[in-house]
Amino acid sequence: MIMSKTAQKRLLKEYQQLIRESPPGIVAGPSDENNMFEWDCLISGPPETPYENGVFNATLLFPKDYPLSPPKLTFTPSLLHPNIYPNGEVCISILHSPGDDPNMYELAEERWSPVQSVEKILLSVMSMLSEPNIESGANIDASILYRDNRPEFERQVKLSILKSLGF
Amino acid sequence: MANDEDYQYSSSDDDFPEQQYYEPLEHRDITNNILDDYEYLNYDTDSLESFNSDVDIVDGMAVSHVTNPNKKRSIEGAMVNLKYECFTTQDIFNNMLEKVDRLQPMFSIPREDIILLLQKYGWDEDRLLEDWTNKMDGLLIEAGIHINNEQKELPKSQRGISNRDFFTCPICCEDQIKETYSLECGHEYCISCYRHYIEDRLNKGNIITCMSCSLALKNTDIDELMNGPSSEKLMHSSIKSFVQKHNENYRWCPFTDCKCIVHIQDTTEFVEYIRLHYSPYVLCNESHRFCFSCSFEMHSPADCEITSSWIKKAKKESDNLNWVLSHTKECPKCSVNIEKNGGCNHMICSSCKYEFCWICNSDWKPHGSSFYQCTMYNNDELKTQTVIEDVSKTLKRYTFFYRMFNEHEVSAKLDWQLGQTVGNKIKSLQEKMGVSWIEGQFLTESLKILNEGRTALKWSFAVVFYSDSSHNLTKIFVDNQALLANSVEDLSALLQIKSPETIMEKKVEFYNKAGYVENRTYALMECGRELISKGIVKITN
Repeated sequence: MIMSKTAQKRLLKEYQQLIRESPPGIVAGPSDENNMFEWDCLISGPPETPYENGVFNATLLFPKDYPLSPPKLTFTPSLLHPNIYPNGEVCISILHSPGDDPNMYELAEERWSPVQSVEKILLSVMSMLSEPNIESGANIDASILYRDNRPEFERQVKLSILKSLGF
Repeated sequence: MANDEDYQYSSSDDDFPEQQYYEPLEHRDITNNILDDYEYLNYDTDSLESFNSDVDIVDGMAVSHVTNPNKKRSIEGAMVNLKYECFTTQDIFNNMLEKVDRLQPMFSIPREDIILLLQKYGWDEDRLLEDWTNKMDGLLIEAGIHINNEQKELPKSQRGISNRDFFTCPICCEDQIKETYSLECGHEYCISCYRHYIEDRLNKGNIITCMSCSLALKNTDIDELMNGPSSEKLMHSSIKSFVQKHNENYRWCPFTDCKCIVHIQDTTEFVEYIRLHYSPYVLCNESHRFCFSCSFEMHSPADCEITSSWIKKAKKESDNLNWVLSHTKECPKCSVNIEKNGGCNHMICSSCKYEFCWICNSDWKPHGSSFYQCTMYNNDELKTQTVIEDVSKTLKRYTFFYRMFNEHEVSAKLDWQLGQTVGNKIKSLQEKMGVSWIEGQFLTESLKILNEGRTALKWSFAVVFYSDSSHNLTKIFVDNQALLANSVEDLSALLQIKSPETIMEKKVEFYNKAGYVENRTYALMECGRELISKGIVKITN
């Protein structure tokens, strides 16, 4: 109970911070003002990448013990990307708490810790879009396509963006 | 037991008076057995090279081995060379502290720092020492013990709790915080956030660092912050992750609530065991015997492969069929509901005094005197029911064997409850009959043998299920199974006796019956091994 109160307060603070100065290309906030634990985010595709001109919708689900545990980020609908599961779930190191990774594949500094924030997560997602990490692919098909046939990968991404924009 | 071989595959034992096959156990010198065990014990403690013989461990071993003098021959007989050690988490914890003490003179840094280094290196001294000689200071920075001065100049602060008038914690966003905590790095957070953070991390078994950088919290810091010996919890979870990381050589005892860890230094010889269809059984300090390779209870005569596929099948089928094998049955004669509260399958209805078999619900008479027919699945019966499809046939076959398996599992549990009363029986023997403790041990021993017999019986049904029923050896195996089932029921009935006088009168019978069960268990296991070795057992799913 105490924890969830902390989470609420912290989320409110982060929301205020984001309203005041949100980084370019990112809009985020609770989908319902009465429930701080579910956020809607809009992320625009970084320029000079296949994702350019796209606007992607994602939801952030916060656990009750936030900021001890990281939130879960899911793209709705999903997009073709090596680090995004076909169901839209995002797999990047900042969303993993240290200790989840038995291979110690990711550095502890890059992982989730209570000092990270929604803003940092979304910025990491932006950089993930411009630089996919095929070493630890979540979507294997996308990883293979990205590695072996870059033009086809870019074509498919662009096609889905056009589709999402209603063309 | 020299004539063991002569009859182990023959099924016509019953034609002879049973007495003929029992070794006169009562003639054996009990003290001799114990001496034997001490020799065995010394041999075991000698192998505790890495864990300097600890008095606790020795005690634990003494307790666990004195009670089972016969097992060496019957079950471990095939694998006397399996060297293993059993520890509790406390043993490992103490050993960790010893390691720290050993390293301290070499390192000349505080104990807490050595603990951190060892944690980082997964308690691998050699690797740590190697790296330590190569790059002392670098290592200290890597492990988060010393701050990296070159990286950036942060306002250096004092490690510890400080009192502040107005402080807004960047994590919980509370202002008017009074107490804060920070390490030398200067990342300052309120004490309650730190506490939540540490509590969350204690179970993960990794080094806990500052929330912002890789500077590590030492055990003393954790205790200071948490106002108590919380770091011990971290050490224990560190042990857990240590065991998980070294799962080649370490195994947790799979029994519920058992905190023992078994360590085998050299697992290369396992290949040989598997080739010969032996399983590497180990015994933990709490006298739980389990298979080191599959972490299951003792499953002979089945091997690990049969065990895992049987368990998988049981899980799958129970989803399909929703097995609710009830624990009560109606008396076949007077329909009174009967709950089975003892291990024996020979039921006597308390209302109508009808004697029947719990498994097949028919009269007990043919079971007791002649042959224990309940272990034999009658294939002919199925042939007459020509309408039944193939699928439901195999299902029915499985149902039968699963039922048998389950019955014996339930019986084993009840036997275990019986075991709880055995202690009391021994006590009353001591009080009423003036029997010495050592003399009363035949009860404990009988119970152990009964348990092992029952476990073997239970798993033998998995073997029969997978084996080719037309093969002669399978028939011999089933006969062996029936003999064991019979003898197990006999012994179980004997253990139900309540009055101390009768127990003492029947002491010889206890020895005889237990010895017989033991021999039958061994014979069944060997027969099962031969069955598997000859490829008669085929795993199909």
